[in-house]
Amino acid sequence: MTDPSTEFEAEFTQLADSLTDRGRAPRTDLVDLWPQFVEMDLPLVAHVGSFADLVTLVRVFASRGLISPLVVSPILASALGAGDDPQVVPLTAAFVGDVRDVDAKTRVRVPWAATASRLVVAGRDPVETRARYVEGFRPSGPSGGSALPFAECCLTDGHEITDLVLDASHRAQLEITVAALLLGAVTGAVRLTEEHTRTREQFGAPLARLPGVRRQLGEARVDLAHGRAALDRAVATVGSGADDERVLDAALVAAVVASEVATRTAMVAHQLHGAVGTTQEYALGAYTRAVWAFRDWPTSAAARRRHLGERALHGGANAVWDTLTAPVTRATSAR
Amino acid sequence: MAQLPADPDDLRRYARDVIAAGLPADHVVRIDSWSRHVDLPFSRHLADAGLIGITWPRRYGGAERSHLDRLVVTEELLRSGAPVAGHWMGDRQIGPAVLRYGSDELKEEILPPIVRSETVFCLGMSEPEAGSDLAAVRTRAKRVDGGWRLDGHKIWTSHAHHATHAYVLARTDPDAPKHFGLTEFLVDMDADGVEVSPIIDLTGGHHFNEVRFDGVVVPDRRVLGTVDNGWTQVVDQLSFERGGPERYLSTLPLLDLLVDRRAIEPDVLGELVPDLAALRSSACEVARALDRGVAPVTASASLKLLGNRFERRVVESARSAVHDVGDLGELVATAALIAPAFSIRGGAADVLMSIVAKQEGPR
Repeated sequence: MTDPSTEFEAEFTQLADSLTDRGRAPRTDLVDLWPQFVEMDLPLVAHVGSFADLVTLVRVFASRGLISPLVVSPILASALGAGDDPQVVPLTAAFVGDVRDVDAKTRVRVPWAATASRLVVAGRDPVETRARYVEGFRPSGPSGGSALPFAECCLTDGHEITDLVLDASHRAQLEITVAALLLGAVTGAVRLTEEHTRTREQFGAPLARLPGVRRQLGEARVDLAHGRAALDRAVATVGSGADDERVLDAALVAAVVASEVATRTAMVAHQLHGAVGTTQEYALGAYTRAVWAFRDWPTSAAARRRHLGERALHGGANAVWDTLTAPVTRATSAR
Repeated sequence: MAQLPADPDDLRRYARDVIAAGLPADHVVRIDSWSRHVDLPFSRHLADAGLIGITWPRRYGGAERSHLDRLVVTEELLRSGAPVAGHWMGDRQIGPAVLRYGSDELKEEILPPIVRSETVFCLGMSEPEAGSDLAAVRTRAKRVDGGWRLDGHKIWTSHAHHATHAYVLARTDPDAPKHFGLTEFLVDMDADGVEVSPIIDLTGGHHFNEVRFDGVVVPDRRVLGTVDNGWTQVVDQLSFERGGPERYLSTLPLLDLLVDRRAIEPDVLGELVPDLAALRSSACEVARALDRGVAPVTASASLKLLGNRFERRVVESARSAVHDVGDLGELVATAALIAPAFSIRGGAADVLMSIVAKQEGPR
């Protein structure tokens, strides 16, 4: 397995730092930033580089509080067969219980609705491949407010809706980029927490000197490493030549671990920040909101676990060992 | 000597076949076998198949394979619940430490018998007054003509009653600061002055012992590495001890049974599978670090902490299922009694967490 952290990591970090004051000014409303992203060729995975590069980009940006449609847009463009067409982005996605019911009156919850002009509506079930493509999408409902990059939207007769297949490989890639977003966001939260505990004094000393605080920070780092292991494995599986089913399994594994790690670690970050972390003006909230918004998206963590558990029971202990949990030991190039 | 398959997948299949051929027909599923169950004929069967010391140089009987290849083999041994405790310490820990720090003479003396599974090593680290605080050891080694005189008391020494040799960490400079003045020795267990007494654990089993060294003479050639440099050396050694798959696979035979008997709910299994996948990948990263010549101290500590958490969840899941799978009752009861030790042995959780906490955080 190659290290999916790519040569671009430092470059992406520098860019994200410049846009967010090193993560102290997170941004999820990217209407004004998107043209810059397009100019830099960031939205199209083919222009960024490999899929591993895209995952790194999403993770690094999220670690600075840039929660952008890059999580979904390049993958959906690829599903539309327009992976190298800059005109097709920005694309976003919504997920519903039964995609067959989608029509001109369907209400959907859409991330980055204000930025996107095209929408893919797919089923929440991880193995559902049927999807609908909505061209000329304009958000019709009120925005979700400042708390989350989501808006409630209603499809209308003015939208042109066509069928689309979102195959297992694209579903897997979405799960992986969401896992990258979650781990990136919570990495940003831990970074802020480390800074806070180094500078905030209580009981006559910086918080970081308290053994209980150090222990919680240690637990957060251990959890982050766990999440990265699952994420890197999933990225390596994409490039390993494994079949789509196995790639989707690895992606769901990464998403389950990322969701749990991000939830647990965000709570630690808040605990160590105290009350200041719960205010809207303080940066930590942006990272927490990203975790809360995406940990059950595109499908719930519970549904992911159930899917993996059923796959494991169906395949038996040998399948658990030989496929569902097996490490990727060969060199890969995740394109 | 047996020729090991070059391809890792073929090596995995080869290891499985060797294990299956070596286990008795009435082999019962057991957990924690790497720590608890000594079966010297089985260890020699593995040795004959070339599966001990596989990363070591050929001149000492090894196969010069990568740590990643070794991980493939150890994963299969642990998954099968095979009785490997007889050679585990020598293969996992003492051999690599001797290769890293030992003199040529010591390598020639110690390594080939481990590869042939002719020796059994036990670890003399913990002491009654120095458990997790390893640097607080009081066992003394004093210079005597031609070697060292060892006096002290070690505890929690697994399989000392089977061992031919002991690794002993002892204080050689009592005036030095705590983390200095320590030296590592390899001691014959049949030497005059070595006394072993059993400690029975919660399960009723005997693998722990106390070992007393009363004026035991250790020749100079049995000093491992540099006199008074023991702390630096032992920290490296602990990376081998902590970063291996036994820290998350000692209960896998139990989980396999639950899965194959469908005695576990999918939602619960869906929590365990992702963790196991991440742990196995992390172990690969630790193995790759070792292949690069790096002692992955922090990564090993993290892996052990996460592995302990996973194993306890396996045991808790089994508790819920045991009502449905009555004949597993004894196995689950044993697992539940072993579980408290997971986060103590091989480095207590609090000590490991302090290692992680000292590192720089995310940037």
